Amino acid sequence: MIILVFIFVGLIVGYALRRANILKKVNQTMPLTICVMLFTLGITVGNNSELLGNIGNYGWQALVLSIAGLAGSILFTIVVSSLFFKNAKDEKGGSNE
Amino acid sequence: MSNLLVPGVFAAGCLAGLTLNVLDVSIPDLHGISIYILYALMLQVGISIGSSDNCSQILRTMRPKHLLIPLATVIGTLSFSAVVGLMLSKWSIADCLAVGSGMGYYSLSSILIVQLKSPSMGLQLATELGTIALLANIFRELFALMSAPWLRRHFGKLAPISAAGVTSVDVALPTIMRISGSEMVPIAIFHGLLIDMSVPFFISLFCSIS
Repeated sequence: MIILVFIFVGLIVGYALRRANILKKVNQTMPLTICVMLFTLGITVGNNSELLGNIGNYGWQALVLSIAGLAGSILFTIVVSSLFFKNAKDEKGGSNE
Repeated sequence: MSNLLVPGVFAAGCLAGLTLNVLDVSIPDLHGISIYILYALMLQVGISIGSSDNCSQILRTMRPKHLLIPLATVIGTLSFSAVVGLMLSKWSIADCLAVGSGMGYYSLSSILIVQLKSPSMGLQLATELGTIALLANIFRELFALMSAPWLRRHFGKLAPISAAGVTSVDVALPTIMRISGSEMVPIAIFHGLLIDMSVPFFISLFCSIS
């Protein structure tokens, strides 16, 4: 949970100093930080022959999880759309349903 | 961040790790170092959300019912991920919920899961789950982008936003604008920002359940 403290501190600092130009730099340093961490994760994965040998196995588990997540969020959004966003014009495309 | 950069950097890392393995060079303790990079990253995530120009402007145009859209995305993703968790014997429901909580934020979710799960399940299993999170959330972003016109046609303007998850605020925003119309842009940004904030919260929550 310590990471949430860091985010919260960041939120306050970011909001308080939102006019400061220096913060615009964060949008450049953040992708860089993510790249450093992903490269590190890549090294860990590439160095791990057992993991690399099973990459197909993880691939299909990932596929199932991603499809489930998509299906779930779309399903609930259909419900929310039809209950609460009926009045918005042309909320549906209309070619099906 | 560019679409190809992230998988590219990850692949380059894999290649480097593989080369080191073949050359039989032992790698230093990357885990110990990367936790501090992670803290720095979390601070930056907070700063970038807090300081974003359109943040307060968009919040003003949103009404309470618009909260239902990110809520639907979160509940839908998590409930269906839990069902998958029942089927995958290797992983607990909480593990699958942690992967699902990425909502398309593949870089952050994979890193967080590896860091937060390795104390309890060991680095090997945590790296496996992190790899699944990386792939699952890359797939989600790809599917969301590719299926946006189809989703719009059959399920309405909000479906591409929900499918995009966290990427409705950045990567998928141009597509959403084109497919669902520019009047959906504030909703897409609002949705993406809220999901963005929910990702570290849900991942650390589900990683703490073992």
